[in-house]
Parts: sequence; structure tokens; C-alpha cells
Amino acid sequence: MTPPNDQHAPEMHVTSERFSENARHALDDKVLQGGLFIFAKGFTALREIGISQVPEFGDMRDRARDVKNHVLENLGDYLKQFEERVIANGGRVHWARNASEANEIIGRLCAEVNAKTVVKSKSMVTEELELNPHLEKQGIEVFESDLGEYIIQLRKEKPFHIVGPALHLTKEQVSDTFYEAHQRYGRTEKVTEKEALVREARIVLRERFKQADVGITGANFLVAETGSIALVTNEGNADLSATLPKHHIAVTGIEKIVPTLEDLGLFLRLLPRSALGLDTANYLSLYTGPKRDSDPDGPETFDIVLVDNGRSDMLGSEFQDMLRCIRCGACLNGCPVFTSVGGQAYGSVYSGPMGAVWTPALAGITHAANLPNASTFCGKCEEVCPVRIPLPNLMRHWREREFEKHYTPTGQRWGMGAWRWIAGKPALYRLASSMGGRVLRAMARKGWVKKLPGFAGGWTEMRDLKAPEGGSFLEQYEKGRRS
Amino acid sequence: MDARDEILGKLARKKHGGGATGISGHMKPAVAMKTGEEMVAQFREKAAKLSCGLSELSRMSEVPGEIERVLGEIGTMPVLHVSDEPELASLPWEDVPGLRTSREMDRDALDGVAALSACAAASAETGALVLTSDADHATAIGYLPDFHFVLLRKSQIVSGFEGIWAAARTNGGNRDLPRAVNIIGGPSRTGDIEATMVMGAHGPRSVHILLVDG
Ligand code: SF4
Repeated sequence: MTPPNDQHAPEMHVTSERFSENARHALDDKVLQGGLFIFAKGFTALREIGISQVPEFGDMRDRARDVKNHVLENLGDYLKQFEERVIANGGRVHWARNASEANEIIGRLCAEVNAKTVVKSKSMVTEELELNPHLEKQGIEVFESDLGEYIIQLRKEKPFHIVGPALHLTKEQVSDTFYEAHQRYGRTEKVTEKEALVREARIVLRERFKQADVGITGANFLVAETGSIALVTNEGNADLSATLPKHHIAVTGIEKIVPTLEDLGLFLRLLPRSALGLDTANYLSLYTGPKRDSDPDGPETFDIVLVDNGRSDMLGSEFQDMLRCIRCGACLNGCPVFTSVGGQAYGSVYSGPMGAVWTPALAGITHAANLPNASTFCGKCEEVCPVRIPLPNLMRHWREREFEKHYTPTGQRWGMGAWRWIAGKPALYRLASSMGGRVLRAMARKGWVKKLPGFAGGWTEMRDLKAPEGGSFLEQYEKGRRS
Repeated sequence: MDARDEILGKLARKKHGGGATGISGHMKPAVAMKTGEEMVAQFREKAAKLSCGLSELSRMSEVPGEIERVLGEIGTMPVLHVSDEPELASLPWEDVPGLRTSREMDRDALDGVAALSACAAASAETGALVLTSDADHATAIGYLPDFHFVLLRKSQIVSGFEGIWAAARTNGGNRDLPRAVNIIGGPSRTGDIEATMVMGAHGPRSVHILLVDG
């Protein structure tokens, strides 16, 4: 891989050295364990029900794997085709070898238009780059607009899960955070209910959308044939970011490309089902170039920053398969380690099985030697991956490399034994025993836990599942703990 | 060497010699292959699953009255912002003197109001509506209002993504797409606080489809 003194070497700051310590702490955190339960049981069940309704799902996964492999084998050609179409549509493409270069480009684009405020929609790549602190140093105010990202931004935390960044928090914690942060907008009343919290964030952020000079989004996919970026969200914040500000910058990894719109359709069929068991996300959007002359709205400039940051090094290596990842989060939800310790223990924006492979590739194995060990090698991640990434094998490759070079500090090495121990205590069992588990046991008596694998699709049902008596699972859980 | 050349150079060097995986053909699941009445029925079912409201009307002239009725159920919402699509302007608004219409489309005017737009297509695969930007259609109309009414003709329903791309390409003029293609699957929502679904995150809290014959 790239020599360490190369100024364009991949960069990502992580605190993965502290994984074991963080993990032990996480296991004792009752609130966190409640949040993890949602992923482990709820999201996994939703996914299974969602995909059971599409008999062709297995074939679609095979095809998705093949399409991605084809793209990776011809990555340069597709990127050039994409670039050409973006330019033909009046947009610009920028290339960044690593995080510093990407941040510099984005900083320059913001400075060129004298940007004071930026509104962002959720983008894991910009988390990877640590773009926000870079822009803030330039004196720009940055507002995350995905509700979960906004909450963790206010709390100065790292995302807990790539799909649900703030699901480790209770509504009381969110309420305290908003109360403190929103005083400056003259909102001095403390709101506590979930609906009211969402409404308050909506009101505060609506003004940010209207005033922001620049909107920054990621891109779930890039379409080579049309030069479009595809955004997949549930809240609508990405579309407001891509429409209201005068300037739109999309930041994404070079591996996100698909050849045609037909191929995009395939991935749009796989992503929401793998993430949440849904037929579709709320908003699937394609953006192609800036505002056309006759369009009543849209940004005047459309810039795409293509980030390498270690990806081209993975190409052609034993880690190439990892570049097929579409960030659905299914491998996290299925993982006995992730669902025991949560995302923050990993000390990296990428957690769970996918993070255990990505993080060492981007941050260097010396900083993330613990992560490929954080596996029971149960194979669940590979089983659920929509693009069939052989995750356990890839983690094994890292372990071999790391073992050869002895990067794991002695005394911090988590043997397989430790993870077997955790995995041997399923989340449900741990919850029921460790916290008195009145609520769970009551729920089990009512039969809802047993019914889990059988309920029929959709988020509404998910809410019902967690709310047998009108509250969320966490509320039930909290009540149980206090009673 | 600049970043572009260096990255592309690296990718070219790593390109596998020969035998690139072929990806000919295309895969469409059965859920995206319905036709005729079956397709319309599946659209109804999927749109309901996405929490969209649906009124079925036999004539375009019934649209203003139906919107007035639905707004009446919601409560006070005296003004309806009507998008610039010609088929909307020609509706008999004079039939509903109680409902004021506005053509204002700027961001402050659209914020939190009730609005009506047309659409480019709708998908029976998922129940989603397809809105595309053009001179008559501001993208923000699908996001800033609280109540979004969408006029959909039955003939605009397509089986799945393949049909969406075809409709979007037609609206874009040729092989290029319009600036924005928004495939909207019901009201905006978030599950970010304690994984409890709350409607009305950043976009409309209600999406109501006016499905008209023809
Ligand atoms: S590795 Fe596979 S399952 Fe995990 S996030 Fe990526 S695509 Fe999803």
C-alpha cells in the first residue's frame, strides 16, 4: 500500500486503539443496550420481512455483485464518462487524493462564493474527511440537517450507526441538547415529546436551509451514463440542501459509480430493503447539473468532489470486494459484536463488520488493529450483505497482516474467546437478566417478542412492535427500569 | 501530477487484463412488471402503505372541489399554492370560491402551506410519485409545503423504475435528465429519535394523490 511519507496517503482519524475499553464500557451502558436491541431485533426482522416479499432478491444480489465488480474493473473509464456528462450538463468535477485535498477543495469552493453558512445532509464520506471542523476553521457555520446527524453534531459525538446516527440517545437527552442549543434562536421553552422535538428541529433547520449559501450532500450513487448523483433519504433534507442554496457541492467516494439508470434501479431495489426492509425510501432523487435557464429554482453551481482516500489502493488488493459496499448497514444490524457494543466503541465513523474492513484500509492498520479482531466469524454479515461482500474473509486478511506485524499491543488483544463470550449471551438474554427486564418479560408474555419474525413490513408496524402500549421501546424500557 | 491524472493513472494500471465481468441483460422483479388494471391496483395498495392520501376522480374538473373538501377535513388552510403546470391553471377554480389560489412559488411563500402540483409519473412498484423540474415545476414544491397535493392521471402510472427513467428522460428532452428527478414515497418522516416514526421531518407531513381517469 501507499508509503507512509506520501503526502497524498489516505487519512482518517480514528480512536480505534481504545476499542476494548470502549466495548467494556458499552456493555454496561443500559440505555445504549436498549438502542442496540432495536437494531439487533427490530431492523433485522424488518429486513427479513421486506426481502421475503421479493422472491428475486437473491438473484438481484448476485447481479448487484456482478455489476459492481464490472464497474470496479473499469472504474477509470466509468469515472471519465461520468465527468464528461457532468461537464456537458454545466457542472464541475474535482478529484481529491485524500482527506486534506478534499477538504481544501471544498473549503476553496465555499470561499469563492463567500459562504458564511453551509447546510449539510448526511454524508459518511464527509464524516470520514472530518470536513466540518475544517470549514469551521475557515469561519463557516455548518449545520447538519439529517435529524440524527444534527443531534450528534450538537452533542459533538460521532455517529452511532451509519443509518441511525443518534439511536443510542433517549428523547430526554435530545430534549436537553435542543434546549441548550436552541436558546440562541429565541426558543426558550423546553420540549420533551418526540413529535415536538422533531417539529422544533424542523422549524430551526428550515431557516438554515433558506439562508445557507452552500448545500453539501453526499451521493449514494453516481450514474455514469447521465452524470447524475442519486440521493436516498427519508426526511427530505438532502433535497432541500440540493435545491435551496445557491451552490450545491456533492462529496462522495470514487467507488459509488453505476453505469446506467437501469443499474441504478437495481441498487435502489436493494438498498432500502437491506437497510430497513422497505420497498423504497421516502425520497429517491437524481440531480443532474445546476439549475437550467428556464427552471424556477435550483442551485447556480453544481460541484462534485470525487474522493479517493485509500480506495484506489484497495482496488486490485485482497480488499477490493469491500469497494462494492452500498452502506446499507445490514451487516451492522446482524453482527453480534456491533449489537453488543454499538458503533461508538469502534472509534471510527465506519463501524460493524464493514467498518472493521474499511477503517484499517483508510486509517492504517496500525491505528485500527483491534477492529478486524472484533468478530466472532459467525458469518451473519456476509449472509445479509446485498452485494455479497465476503466480510469475514476480509477481516481474516487484516488479522493475518496484523498478526505478521504484531500491530496489536499486548494486553489489548481480544482473542476469539472474548467475542464468543459476548455472542454467547444474545442481546435479548442480556437485557432480560441485566436490567431486571420487567418490561421485556411482560412483552414476552404478551407474545410480541415471539411474533417478531412474523409481522408484516413497514415502519408503522415497526413502531407498533416497539410500542405495545403507545410508547417506544426505550420508553417501555426506561419505565421498567424505574419501576 | 495533478490529482485527477494520478487517480485515473492508478486505476488504469490496476485495471485487470481482459475478461471484464460482463453485465449484459437486466433484472426486473415481478413486483415491477404489472400491467393494466393490476398495475393500478398495486399502485393504490403501495401508495396507501406509504401513508399517501388518495382520492379517485373520474374528471379533471372535480379536482378543485375535492381539494377543498380534503382541506376542510384538515382544518383551516385558506390558500392553495398552485404550480405552473398548464393542466392545473385550466382547472375550474371558480367552482370553489371559498378556496383562494396563489401562484407564488418562492421559498417563503411555499413554506408550510398547502400546494398542488402535477407529476411526471407514478410507480406501481413502490407507490411513489415522480416529480421532475422544468419551467413549470419548482422542485421546492415537493418539500417546503406542509400539505402536498399531486395530480396524477391513470395513464401516467408505470410498472417500475424502468418506466420512471423513460418518463424522466422524455421530460428532460432526450437522453439527458431534467435537473431534478424526485421520486417521492409519501410524507416526509424520521425515525431518528428512539426509532419512533414521526411524520413531517423536513418535507410535507401529508401527501395526497388526486388520481384522475384517463
Ligand atoms: S458491507 Fe454489505 S451489508 Fe455491510 S453496509 Fe456494506 S453493503 Fe451493507
